[in-house]
Amino acid sequence: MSMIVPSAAGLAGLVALVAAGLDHRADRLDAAAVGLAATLPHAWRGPAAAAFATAVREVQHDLSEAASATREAAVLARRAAAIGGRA
Amino acid sequence: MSDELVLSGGGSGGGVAVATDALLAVIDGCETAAREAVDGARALAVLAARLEQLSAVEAGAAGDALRLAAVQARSAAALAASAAPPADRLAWALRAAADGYGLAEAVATRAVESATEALAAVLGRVAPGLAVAASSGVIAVAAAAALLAPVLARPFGLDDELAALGTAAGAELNRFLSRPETVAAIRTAVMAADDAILGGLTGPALAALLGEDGIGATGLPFVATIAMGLAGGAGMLRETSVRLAERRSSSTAAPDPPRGWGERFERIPAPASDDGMQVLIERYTVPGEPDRFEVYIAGTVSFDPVAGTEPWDLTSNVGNASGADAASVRAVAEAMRDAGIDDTTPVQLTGFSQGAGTAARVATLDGFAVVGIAAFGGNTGQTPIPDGVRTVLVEHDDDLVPALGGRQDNDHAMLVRREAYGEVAPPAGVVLPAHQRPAYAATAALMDDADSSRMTDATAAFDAFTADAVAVERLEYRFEREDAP
Repeated sequence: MSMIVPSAAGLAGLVALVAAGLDHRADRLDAAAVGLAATLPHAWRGPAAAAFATAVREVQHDLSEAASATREAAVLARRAAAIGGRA
Repeated sequence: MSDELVLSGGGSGGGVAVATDALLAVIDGCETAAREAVDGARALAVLAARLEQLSAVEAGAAGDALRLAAVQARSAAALAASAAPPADRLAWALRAAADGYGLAEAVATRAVESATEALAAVLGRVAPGLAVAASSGVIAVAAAAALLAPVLARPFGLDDELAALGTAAGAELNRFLSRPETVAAIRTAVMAADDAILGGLTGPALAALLGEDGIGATGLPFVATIAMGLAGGAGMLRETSVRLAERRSSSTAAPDPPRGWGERFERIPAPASDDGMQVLIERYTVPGEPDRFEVYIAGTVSFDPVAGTEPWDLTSNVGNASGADAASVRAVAEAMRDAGIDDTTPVQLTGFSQGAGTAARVATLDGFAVVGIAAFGGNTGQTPIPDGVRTVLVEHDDDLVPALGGRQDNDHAMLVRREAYGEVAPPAGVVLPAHQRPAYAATAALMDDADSSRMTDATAAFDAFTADAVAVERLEYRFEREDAP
Protein backbone atom coordinates (compact mmCIF):
# COMPACT_ATOMS: atom_id res chain seq x y z
CA MET A 1 0.00 0.00 0.00
CA SER A 2 1.24 3.47 -0.88
CA MET A 3 2.07 5.89 1.92
CA ILE A 4 -0.20 8.34 0.11
CA VAL A 5 -3.39 6.60 1.21
CA PRO A 6 -3.92 8.09 4.71
CA SER A 7 -3.08 11.62 3.58
CA ALA A 8 -5.25 11.53 0.46
CA ALA A 9 -8.15 10.00 2.36
CA GLY A 10 -7.83 12.62 5.08
CA LEU A 11 -7.72 15.40 2.54
CA ALA A 12 -10.77 13.96 0.79
CA GLY A 13 -12.65 14.08 4.10
CA LEU A 14 -11.69 17.70 4.69
CA VAL A 15 -12.70 18.71 1.17
CA ALA A 16 -16.03 16.95 1.67
CA LEU A 17 -16.56 18.94 4.88
CA VAL A 18 -16.08 22.21 3.01
CA ALA A 19 -18.59 21.03 0.39
CA ALA A 20 -21.13 20.18 3.07
CA GLY A 21 -20.70 23.62 4.65
CA LEU A 22 -21.31 25.42 1.38
CA ASP A 23 -24.32 23.23 0.65
CA HIS A 24 -25.76 23.87 4.09
CA ARG A 25 -25.42 27.61 3.68
CA ALA A 26 -27.09 27.49 0.24
CA ASP A 27 -30.01 25.52 1.71
CA ARG A 28 -30.39 27.90 4.66
CA LEU A 29 -30.39 30.90 2.35
CA ASP A 30 -32.97 29.23 0.12
CA ALA A 31 -35.25 28.51 3.10
CA ALA A 32 -34.93 32.08 4.38
CA ALA A 33 -35.71 33.50 0.94
CA VAL A 34 -38.80 31.31 0.56
CA GLY A 35 -40.01 32.38 4.00
CA LEU A 36 -39.40 36.01 3.22
CA ALA A 37 -41.34 35.99 -0.06
CA ALA A 38 -44.64 35.87 1.83
CA THR A 39 -43.71 38.44 4.43
CA LEU A 40 -42.11 41.32 2.55
CA PRO A 41 -43.25 44.73 3.83
CA HIS A 42 -46.15 46.03 1.73
CA ALA A 43 -44.00 48.74 0.18
CA TRP A 44 -41.51 46.16 -1.01
CA ARG A 45 -43.92 43.95 -2.88
CA GLY A 46 -44.21 43.90 -6.67
CA PRO A 47 -41.22 44.42 -9.00
CA ALA A 48 -38.83 44.99 -6.10
CA ALA A 49 -39.75 41.60 -4.66
CA ALA A 50 -39.08 39.92 -8.02
CA ALA A 51 -35.66 41.57 -8.30
CA PHE A 52 -34.87 40.55 -4.75
CA ALA A 53 -35.91 36.95 -5.38
CA THR A 54 -33.69 36.82 -8.47
CA ALA A 55 -30.71 38.18 -6.55
CA VAL A 56 -31.16 35.64 -3.74
CA ARG A 57 -31.41 32.81 -6.28
CA GLU A 58 -28.17 33.95 -7.92
CA VAL A 59 -26.32 33.88 -4.62
CA GLN A 60 -27.81 30.51 -3.81
CA HIS A 61 -26.85 29.21 -7.27
CA ASP A 62 -23.25 30.41 -6.87
CA LEU A 63 -22.96 28.69 -3.51
CA SER A 64 -24.47 25.47 -4.83
CA GLU A 65 -22.11 25.48 -7.78
CA ALA A 66 -19.09 25.97 -5.52
CA ALA A 67 -20.37 23.15 -3.28
CA SER A 68 -20.82 20.86 -6.27
CA ALA A 69 -17.27 21.53 -7.54
CA THR A 70 -15.93 20.93 -4.04
CA ARG A 71 -17.75 17.61 -3.78
CA GLU A 72 -16.19 16.60 -7.08
CA ALA A 73 -12.73 17.45 -5.68
CA ALA A 74 -13.47 15.24 -2.68
CA VAL A 75 -14.46 12.35 -4.96
CA LEU A 76 -11.21 12.70 -6.90
CA ALA A 77 -9.14 12.78 -3.72
CA ARG A 78 -10.88 9.63 -2.51
CA ARG A 79 -10.23 7.97 -5.86
CA ALA A 80 -6.52 8.83 -5.51
CA ALA A 81 -6.52 7.23 -2.08
CA ALA A 82 -8.23 4.11 -3.46
CA ILE A 83 -5.74 3.80 -6.31
CA GLY A 84 -2.87 4.23 -3.84
CA GLY A 85 -4.44 1.53 -1.67
CA ARG A 86 -4.37 -0.96 -4.53
CA ALA A 87 -0.81 -0.08 -5.52
CA MET B 1 -53.79 38.01 12.10
CA SER B 2 -50.44 38.98 10.69
CA ASP B 3 -47.31 37.09 11.68
CA GLU B 4 -45.03 39.77 10.30
CA LEU B 5 -42.78 41.53 12.81
CA VAL B 6 -41.36 44.89 11.73
CA LEU B 7 -38.19 45.90 13.58
CA SER B 8 -36.64 49.34 13.77
CA GLY B 9 -34.37 51.45 15.97
CA GLY B 10 -32.10 49.88 18.51
CA GLY B 11 -29.03 52.11 18.41
CA SER B 12 -25.81 51.10 16.71
CA GLY B 13 -27.09 47.79 15.37
CA GLY B 14 -30.37 49.16 14.15
CA GLY B 15 -29.69 52.61 12.76
CA VAL B 16 -32.68 53.99 10.89
CA ALA B 17 -33.55 50.68 9.27
CA VAL B 18 -37.16 49.51 9.24
CA ALA B 19 -37.44 45.89 8.17
CA THR B 20 -39.31 42.70 8.87
CA ASP B 21 -37.67 40.02 10.95
CA ALA B 22 -37.76 37.73 7.89
CA LEU B 23 -35.88 40.28 5.79
CA LEU B 24 -33.28 40.80 8.49
CA ALA B 25 -32.83 37.03 8.64
CA VAL B 26 -32.06 36.97 4.89
CA ILE B 27 -29.55 39.81 5.37
CA ASP B 28 -27.92 37.78 8.14
CA GLY B 29 -27.93 34.74 5.82
CA CYS B 30 -26.27 36.62 2.98
CA GLU B 31 -23.58 38.03 5.26
CA THR B 32 -22.89 34.59 6.71
CA ALA B 33 -22.85 33.07 3.22
CA ALA B 34 -20.27 35.61 2.06
CA ARG B 35 -18.11 34.95 5.11
CA GLU B 36 -18.37 31.19 4.75
CA ALA B 37 -17.66 31.32 1.02
CA VAL B 38 -14.43 33.23 1.68
CA ASP B 39 -13.47 30.81 4.47
CA GLY B 40 -14.31 27.84 2.21
CA ALA B 41 -12.19 29.23 -0.63
CA ARG B 42 -9.23 29.67 1.72
CA ALA B 43 -9.59 26.13 3.08
CA LEU B 44 -9.86 24.69 -0.42
CA ALA B 45 -6.74 26.57 -1.55
CA VAL B 46 -4.79 25.06 1.36
CA LEU B 47 -6.15 21.58 0.63
CA ALA B 48 -5.36 21.96 -3.12
CA ALA B 49 -1.76 22.88 -2.26
CA ARG B 50 -1.47 19.78 -0.07
CA LEU B 51 -2.91 17.58 -2.84
CA GLU B 52 -0.36 19.06 -5.24
CA GLN B 53 2.47 18.25 -2.80
CA LEU B 54 1.28 14.66 -2.55
CA SER B 55 0.93 14.33 -6.31
CA ALA B 56 4.55 15.49 -6.73
CA VAL B 57 5.86 12.56 -4.71
CA GLU B 58 3.39 9.96 -5.98
CA ALA B 59 4.02 8.32 -9.33
CA GLY B 60 1.60 6.49 -11.59
CA ALA B 61 -2.18 6.45 -11.57
CA ALA B 62 -2.45 7.56 -7.96
CA GLY B 63 -0.32 10.64 -8.70
CA ASP B 64 -2.46 11.45 -11.75
CA ALA B 65 -5.64 11.16 -9.66
CA LEU B 66 -4.15 13.44 -7.00
CA ARG B 67 -3.24 16.02 -9.64
CA LEU B 68 -6.81 15.92 -10.95
CA ALA B 69 -8.18 16.32 -7.42
CA ALA B 70 -5.88 19.30 -6.83
CA VAL B 71 -7.01 20.99 -10.05
CA GLN B 72 -10.63 20.39 -9.09
CA ALA B 73 -10.05 21.77 -5.59
CA ARG B 74 -8.46 24.93 -7.10
CA SER B 75 -11.47 25.31 -9.36
CA ALA B 76 -13.88 24.85 -6.43
CA ALA B 77 -11.91 27.44 -4.43
CA ALA B 78 -12.30 29.94 -7.25
CA LEU B 79 -16.03 29.29 -7.45
CA ALA B 80 -16.46 29.67 -3.71
CA ALA B 81 -14.48 32.92 -3.75
CA SER B 82 -16.62 34.25 -6.58
CA ALA B 83 -19.83 33.49 -4.62
CA ALA B 84 -18.86 35.85 -1.82
CA PRO B 85 -19.11 39.28 -3.51
CA PRO B 86 -22.69 38.82 -4.81
CA ALA B 87 -23.80 37.66 -1.36
CA ASP B 88 -22.11 40.70 0.21
CA ARG B 89 -23.63 43.03 -2.37
CA LEU B 90 -27.10 41.62 -1.80
CA ALA B 91 -26.79 42.00 1.97
CA TRP B 92 -25.58 45.57 1.52
CA ALA B 93 -28.40 46.40 -0.91
CA LEU B 94 -31.07 44.94 1.37
CA ARG B 95 -29.69 46.82 4.36
CA ALA B 96 -29.56 50.05 2.34
CA ALA B 97 -33.16 49.49 1.24
CA ALA B 98 -34.24 48.95 4.85
CA ASP B 99 -32.37 52.12 5.87
CA GLY B 100 -33.95 54.04 3.00
CA TYR B 101 -37.40 52.80 3.89
CA GLY B 102 -36.89 53.79 7.51
CA LEU B 103 -35.55 57.21 6.57
CA ALA B 104 -38.43 57.85 4.15
CA GLU B 105 -40.95 56.77 6.77
CA ALA B 106 -39.37 59.02 9.40
CA VAL B 107 -39.19 62.04 7.06
CA ALA B 108 -42.76 61.57 5.83
CA THR B 109 -44.10 61.16 9.37
CA ARG B 110 -42.24 64.24 10.56
CA ALA B 111 -43.45 66.30 7.59
CA VAL B 112 -47.08 65.37 8.27
CA GLU B 113 -46.65 66.15 11.97
CA SER B 114 -45.03 69.53 11.30
CA ALA B 115 -47.76 70.51 8.86
CA THR B 116 -50.47 69.37 11.27
CA GLU B 117 -48.90 71.20 14.18
CA ALA B 118 -48.61 74.42 12.18
CA LEU B 119 -52.21 74.13 11.03
CA ALA B 120 -53.37 73.39 14.56
CA ALA B 121 -51.57 76.47 15.87
CA VAL B 122 -53.19 78.73 13.26
CA LEU B 123 -56.63 77.22 13.83
CA GLY B 124 -56.17 77.54 17.56
CA ARG B 125 -55.82 81.29 17.06
CA VAL B 126 -58.47 82.01 14.45
CA ALA B 127 -61.04 79.32 15.25
CA PRO B 128 -60.42 77.68 18.62
CA GLY B 129 -63.49 75.47 18.39
CA LEU B 130 -62.48 74.18 15.00
CA ALA B 131 -58.94 73.68 16.19
CA VAL B 132 -60.08 71.50 19.03
CA ALA B 133 -62.07 69.42 16.58
CA ALA B 134 -59.47 69.24 13.84
CA SER B 135 -56.19 69.29 15.69
CA SER B 136 -56.77 67.88 19.11
CA GLY B 137 -58.55 65.25 17.18
CA VAL B 138 -62.10 64.33 16.47
CA ILE B 139 -60.72 60.84 16.37
CA ALA B 140 -59.03 61.09 19.74
CA VAL B 141 -62.22 62.50 21.25
CA ALA B 142 -64.21 59.66 19.68
CA ALA B 143 -61.78 57.14 21.09
CA ALA B 144 -61.94 58.67 24.53
CA ALA B 145 -65.74 58.83 24.34
CA ALA B 146 -65.90 55.16 23.45
CA LEU B 147 -63.79 54.29 26.48
CA LEU B 148 -65.46 56.65 28.91
CA ALA B 149 -69.08 56.46 27.77
CA PRO B 150 -70.05 53.58 30.07
CA VAL B 151 -68.71 55.46 33.07
CA LEU B 152 -70.18 58.84 32.16
CA ALA B 153 -73.59 57.35 31.36
CA ARG B 154 -73.94 55.66 34.74
CA PRO B 155 -74.93 58.70 36.85
CA PHE B 156 -77.59 59.65 34.30
CA GLY B 157 -79.20 56.22 34.21
CA LEU B 158 -78.43 55.83 30.53
CA ASP B 159 -76.78 52.43 30.77
CA ASP B 160 -79.48 50.62 28.79
CA GLU B 161 -79.59 53.23 26.04
CA LEU B 162 -75.82 53.18 25.81
CA ALA B 163 -75.76 49.40 25.67
CA ALA B 164 -78.23 49.41 22.76
CA LEU B 165 -76.23 52.09 20.98
CA GLY B 166 -73.04 50.20 21.68
CA THR B 167 -74.41 47.02 20.18
CA ALA B 168 -75.39 48.85 17.04
CA ALA B 169 -72.29 50.98 16.66
CA GLY B 170 -69.73 49.10 18.72
CA ALA B 171 -68.51 46.68 16.10
CA GLU B 172 -68.11 49.38 13.48
CA LEU B 173 -66.41 51.76 15.92
CA ASN B 174 -64.12 48.98 17.05
CA ARG B 175 -63.10 48.30 13.46
CA PHE B 176 -62.55 52.02 12.88
CA LEU B 177 -60.41 52.44 15.99
CA SER B 178 -58.41 49.34 15.08
CA ARG B 179 -57.39 50.57 11.64
CA PRO B 180 -53.68 51.39 11.38
CA GLU B 181 -54.63 54.60 9.54
CA THR B 182 -56.84 55.68 12.44
CA VAL B 183 -54.12 54.84 14.94
CA ALA B 184 -51.55 56.85 12.96
CA ALA B 185 -53.97 59.80 12.79
CA ILE B 186 -54.49 59.66 16.55
CA ARG B 187 -50.72 59.71 17.07
CA THR B 188 -50.45 62.81 14.90
CA ALA B 189 -53.43 64.44 16.60
CA VAL B 190 -51.88 63.84 20.00
CA MET B 191 -48.68 65.54 18.89
CA ALA B 192 -50.65 68.53 17.50
CA ALA B 193 -52.94 69.06 20.48
CA ASP B 194 -50.49 71.30 22.32
CA ASP B 195 -50.02 73.47 19.23
CA ALA B 196 -53.78 73.98 18.97
CA ILE B 197 -54.01 75.06 22.61
CA LEU B 198 -50.91 77.25 22.46
CA GLY B 199 -51.95 78.73 19.13
CA GLY B 200 -55.20 79.84 20.72
CA LEU B 201 -53.45 81.33 23.73
CA THR B 202 -50.34 82.88 22.20
CA GLY B 203 -50.53 82.77 18.41
CA PRO B 204 -48.90 80.43 15.87
CA ALA B 205 -45.40 81.94 16.01
CA LEU B 206 -44.99 81.57 19.76
CA ALA B 207 -46.64 78.14 19.63
CA ALA B 208 -43.99 76.98 17.14
CA LEU B 209 -41.23 78.40 19.35
CA LEU B 210 -42.52 76.68 22.49
CA GLY B 211 -43.54 73.36 20.88
CA GLU B 212 -41.69 70.07 20.27
CA ASP B 213 -39.89 71.51 17.25
CA GLY B 214 -38.91 74.65 19.17
CA ILE B 215 -37.55 74.67 22.69
CA GLY B 216 -39.73 71.69 23.60
CA ALA B 217 -41.41 73.39 26.54
CA THR B 218 -44.81 71.91 25.76
CA GLY B 219 -45.72 68.67 24.03
CA LEU B 220 -47.83 65.83 25.39
CA PRO B 221 -47.04 66.54 29.10
CA PHE B 222 -48.40 70.07 28.63
CA VAL B 223 -51.68 68.77 27.18
CA ALA B 224 -52.05 66.05 29.83
CA THR B 225 -51.39 68.60 32.60
CA ILE B 226 -54.09 70.89 31.20
CA ALA B 227 -56.48 67.93 30.89
CA MET B 228 -55.88 67.00 34.52
CA GLY B 229 -56.41 70.60 35.60
CA LEU B 230 -59.69 70.93 33.73
CA ALA B 231 -60.97 67.50 34.76
CA GLY B 232 -59.93 68.13 38.34
CA GLY B 233 -62.52 70.90 38.55
CA ALA B 234 -65.19 68.29 37.87
CA GLY B 235 -63.76 65.87 40.41
CA MET B 236 -62.07 63.70 37.80
CA LEU B 237 -58.42 62.71 37.26
CA ARG B 238 -57.44 63.83 40.75
CA GLU B 239 -54.23 62.30 42.04
CA THR B 240 -53.97 60.83 45.54
CA SER B 241 -51.39 59.20 47.73
CA VAL B 242 -51.01 55.39 47.65
CA ARG B 243 -50.47 52.79 50.35
CA LEU B 244 -49.30 49.19 50.34
CA ALA B 245 -52.40 47.03 50.87
CA GLU B 246 -50.96 43.54 50.54
CA ARG B 247 -47.59 41.85 50.10
CA ARG B 248 -46.91 38.17 49.44
CA SER B 249 -43.58 36.40 49.40
CA SER B 250 -42.54 32.98 48.16
CA SER B 251 -39.33 31.20 47.19
CA THR B 252 -38.63 28.38 44.80
CA ALA B 253 -36.00 25.70 45.29
CA ALA B 254 -34.44 26.31 41.90
CA PRO B 255 -34.45 29.60 39.99
CA ASP B 256 -36.78 29.63 37.00
CA PRO B 257 -35.95 32.90 35.26
CA PRO B 258 -37.99 33.86 32.20
CA ARG B 259 -36.66 32.45 28.96
CA GLY B 260 -37.85 34.37 25.94
CA TRP B 261 -40.52 37.01 25.46
CA GLY B 262 -43.50 34.69 25.85
CA GLU B 263 -42.48 33.64 29.36
CA ARG B 264 -41.54 37.22 30.24
CA PHE B 265 -44.93 38.56 29.10
CA GLU B 266 -46.80 35.76 30.88
CA ARG B 267 -45.32 36.85 34.24
CA ILE B 268 -46.87 40.33 34.06
CA PRO B 269 -49.63 40.29 36.70
CA ALA B 270 -53.25 40.27 35.53
CA PRO B 271 -54.94 41.80 38.60
CA ALA B 272 -58.37 40.42 37.68
CA SER B 273 -57.09 36.87 38.02
CA ASP B 274 -54.16 37.48 40.40
CA ASP B 275 -56.15 38.67 43.46
CA GLY B 276 -55.64 42.28 42.47
CA MET B 277 -51.84 42.06 42.60
CA GLN B 278 -50.35 44.76 40.36
CA VAL B 279 -46.60 44.22 40.76
CA LEU B 280 -44.45 41.10 40.77
CA ILE B 281 -40.79 41.39 41.75
CA GLU B 282 -38.32 38.52 41.42
CA ARG B 283 -35.10 38.78 43.41
CA TYR B 284 -32.31 36.66 41.90
CA THR B 285 -29.24 35.68 43.87
CA VAL B 286 -26.03 35.55 41.83
CA PRO B 287 -22.86 34.39 43.63
CA GLY B 288 -20.32 37.16 44.16
CA GLU B 289 -22.58 39.87 42.76
CA PRO B 290 -25.32 42.15 44.08
CA ASP B 291 -28.83 40.70 43.88
CA ARG B 292 -30.57 41.45 40.62
CA PHE B 293 -34.27 41.98 40.07
CA GLU B 294 -36.97 41.46 37.47
CA VAL B 295 -40.02 43.71 37.98
CA TYR B 296 -43.31 42.99 36.18
CA ILE B 297 -46.01 45.68 36.11
CA ALA B 298 -49.71 45.16 35.31
CA GLY B 299 -51.84 47.12 32.85
CA THR B 300 -54.76 49.44 33.55
CA VAL B 301 -57.39 47.93 35.86
CA SER B 302 -59.99 50.72 35.91
CA PHE B 303 -60.92 53.29 33.25
CA ASP B 304 -63.09 55.23 35.68
CA PRO B 305 -62.03 58.90 35.37
CA VAL B 306 -62.93 59.45 39.03
CA ALA B 307 -60.16 58.03 41.19
CA GLY B 308 -61.35 55.26 43.53
CA THR B 309 -59.13 52.89 45.45
CA GLU B 310 -57.44 51.37 42.38
CA PRO B 311 -54.15 53.14 41.51
CA TRP B 312 -53.89 51.41 38.10
CA ASP B 313 -56.59 53.69 36.66
CA LEU B 314 -57.22 56.40 34.10
CA THR B 315 -55.92 59.07 36.48
CA SER B 316 -52.53 57.32 36.56
CA ASN B 317 -52.56 56.97 32.78
CA VAL B 318 -53.05 60.71 32.27
CA GLY B 319 -50.73 61.51 35.17
CA ASN B 320 -47.95 59.48 33.59
CA ALA B 321 -48.49 61.31 30.31
CA SER B 322 -48.21 64.64 32.12
CA GLY B 323 -44.72 63.71 33.25
CA ALA B 324 -45.65 63.63 36.92
CA ASP B 325 -45.14 60.57 39.09
CA ALA B 326 -48.62 59.11 39.00
CA ALA B 327 -49.98 56.75 41.66
CA SER B 328 -48.90 53.64 39.77
CA VAL B 329 -45.34 54.98 39.38
CA ARG B 330 -45.13 55.83 43.08
CA ALA B 331 -46.51 52.40 43.95
CA VAL B 332 -43.95 50.56 41.81
CA ALA B 333 -41.12 52.66 43.25
CA GLU B 334 -42.31 51.84 46.79
CA ALA B 335 -42.50 48.13 45.96
CA MET B 336 -39.00 48.23 44.48
CA ARG B 337 -37.56 49.91 47.57
CA ASP B 338 -39.39 47.41 49.78
CA ALA B 339 -37.85 44.54 47.82
CA GLY B 340 -34.37 45.94 48.42
CA ILE B 341 -33.80 47.52 45.02
CA ASP B 342 -31.51 50.55 45.02
CA ASP B 343 -28.95 52.19 42.76
CA THR B 344 -26.46 49.33 43.25
CA THR B 345 -28.79 46.48 42.28
CA PRO B 346 -29.45 46.02 38.56
CA VAL B 347 -33.09 45.70 37.58
CA GLN B 348 -35.06 44.89 34.43
CA LEU B 349 -38.63 46.17 34.08
CA THR B 350 -41.37 44.48 32.07
CA GLY B 351 -44.82 46.00 31.67
CA PHE B 352 -48.00 45.82 29.66
CA SER B 353 -50.26 48.74 28.78
CA GLN B 354 -50.14 51.17 31.74
CA GLY B 355 -47.43 48.92 33.18
CA ALA B 356 -45.30 49.66 30.11
CA GLY B 357 -45.73 53.42 30.51
CA THR B 358 -45.06 53.07 34.22
CA ALA B 359 -41.86 51.12 33.54
CA ALA B 360 -40.65 53.91 31.25
CA ARG B 361 -41.33 56.52 33.93
CA VAL B 362 -39.65 54.45 36.67
CA ALA B 363 -36.54 54.29 34.49
CA THR B 364 -36.31 58.09 34.69
CA LEU B 365 -36.33 58.10 38.52
CA ASP B 366 -33.19 58.53 40.62
CA GLY B 367 -32.27 55.78 43.05
CA PHE B 368 -32.57 52.75 40.77
CA ALA B 369 -30.11 51.03 38.41
CA VAL B 370 -32.49 50.15 35.59
CA VAL B 371 -30.60 48.21 32.90
CA GLY B 372 -33.47 46.95 30.74
CA ILE B 373 -37.09 47.66 29.83
CA ALA B 374 -39.47 45.43 27.90
CA ALA B 375 -42.67 47.40 27.26
CA PHE B 376 -45.72 45.88 25.58
CA GLY B 377 -48.49 48.15 24.29
CA GLY B 378 -47.61 51.19 26.37
CA ASN B 379 -47.80 54.93 25.72
CA THR B 380 -44.05 55.43 26.05
CA GLY B 381 -43.32 57.66 23.03
CA GLN B 382 -42.83 60.94 24.86
CA THR B 383 -41.26 59.53 28.04
CA PRO B 384 -37.49 59.99 27.68
CA ILE B 385 -36.10 56.57 28.61
CA PRO B 386 -32.37 57.02 29.39
CA ASP B 387 -30.10 56.07 26.48
CA GLY B 388 -28.12 53.54 28.49
CA VAL B 389 -31.16 51.41 29.27
CA ARG B 390 -31.54 48.39 26.99
CA THR B 391 -35.07 48.89 25.68
CA VAL B 392 -37.47 46.80 23.62
CA LEU B 393 -40.83 48.45 22.87
CA VAL B 394 -43.59 46.30 21.39
CA GLU B 395 -46.47 48.12 19.69
CA HIS B 396 -49.33 47.00 17.46
CA ASP B 397 -50.04 49.25 14.48
CA ASP B 398 -53.77 48.67 15.06
CA ASP B 399 -53.63 49.45 18.81
CA LEU B 400 -54.46 53.06 19.63
CA VAL B 401 -53.11 52.97 23.21
CA PRO B 402 -49.41 53.34 22.24
CA ALA B 403 -50.50 56.08 19.80
CA LEU B 404 -51.99 58.06 22.71
CA GLY B 405 -48.41 58.39 23.92
CA GLY B 406 -47.55 60.40 20.80
CA ARG B 407 -44.60 59.99 18.46
CA GLN B 408 -42.06 57.37 19.59
CA ASP B 409 -38.99 59.50 20.33
CA ASN B 410 -36.89 56.84 22.09
CA ASP B 411 -34.60 56.27 19.12
CA HIS B 412 -32.20 54.08 21.06
CA ALA B 413 -34.99 51.60 21.75
CA MET B 414 -35.61 48.61 19.56
CA LEU B 415 -39.18 48.96 18.32
CA VAL B 416 -41.05 45.77 17.41
CA ARG B 417 -44.25 46.44 15.46
CA ARG B 418 -46.98 44.18 14.20
CA GLU B 419 -50.53 44.45 12.96
CA ALA B 420 -52.38 42.20 15.40
CA TYR B 421 -55.33 41.69 13.09
CA GLY B 422 -54.13 42.88 9.68
CA GLU B 423 -56.69 41.98 7.05
CA VAL B 424 -58.68 39.85 9.51
CA ALA B 425 -61.68 41.60 11.08
CA PRO B 426 -61.17 42.15 14.83
CA PRO B 427 -63.53 40.17 17.06
CA ALA B 428 -66.84 41.77 17.98
CA GLY B 429 -67.57 42.48 21.62
CA VAL B 430 -63.95 43.11 22.58
CA VAL B 431 -62.98 46.74 23.06
CA LEU B 432 -59.69 47.58 21.33
CA PRO B 433 -58.88 43.92 20.54
CA ALA B 434 -55.37 44.70 19.32
CA HIS B 435 -54.58 46.04 22.80
CA GLN B 436 -55.69 42.95 24.70
CA ARG B 437 -53.26 40.56 26.44
CA PRO B 438 -53.82 37.62 24.06
CA ALA B 439 -52.83 39.79 21.09
CA TYR B 440 -49.57 40.86 22.75
CA ALA B 441 -48.93 37.32 24.00
CA ALA B 442 -49.13 36.18 20.37
CA THR B 443 -46.62 38.84 19.37
CA ALA B 444 -44.29 37.77 22.17
CA ALA B 445 -44.44 34.20 20.85
CA LEU B 446 -43.57 35.43 17.35
CA MET B 447 -40.61 37.32 18.81
CA ASP B 448 -39.41 34.03 20.31
CA ASP B 449 -39.67 32.36 16.90
CA ALA B 450 -37.89 35.19 15.08
CA ASP B 451 -34.83 34.35 13.00
CA SER B 452 -32.98 37.65 12.61
CA SER B 453 -29.92 38.29 14.74
CA ARG B 454 -31.40 41.69 15.71
CA MET B 455 -34.25 39.94 17.49
CA THR B 456 -32.33 36.93 18.80
CA ASP B 457 -29.54 39.16 20.15
CA ALA B 458 -32.09 41.26 22.06
CA THR B 459 -33.70 38.10 23.44
CA ALA B 460 -30.33 36.74 24.53
CA ALA B 461 -29.40 40.02 26.23
CA PHE B 462 -32.58 40.06 28.34
CA ASP B 463 -32.31 36.35 29.18
CA ALA B 464 -28.62 36.63 30.11
CA PHE B 465 -29.52 39.03 32.94
CA THR B 466 -30.55 36.14 35.20
CA ALA B 467 -28.56 33.32 33.57
CA ASP B 468 -26.22 32.76 36.53
CA ALA B 469 -28.84 32.97 39.28
CA VAL B 470 -28.79 30.27 41.96
CA ALA B 471 -31.94 31.26 43.89
CA VAL B 472 -35.04 33.36 43.46
CA GLU B 473 -37.56 34.97 45.77
CA ARG B 474 -40.91 36.17 44.43
CA LEU B 475 -42.68 39.19 45.93
CA GLU B 476 -46.17 40.26 44.89
CA TYR B 477 -47.69 43.64 45.74
CA ARG B 478 -51.13 45.23 45.78
CA PHE B 479 -51.55 48.94 46.36
CA GLU B 480 -54.57 51.15 47.00
CA ARG B 481 -55.19 54.82 46.67
CA GLU B 482 -55.70 56.83 49.84
CA ASP B 483 -58.00 59.83 50.27
CA ALA B 484 -59.76 59.28 46.98
CA PRO B 485 -62.44 61.92 46.29
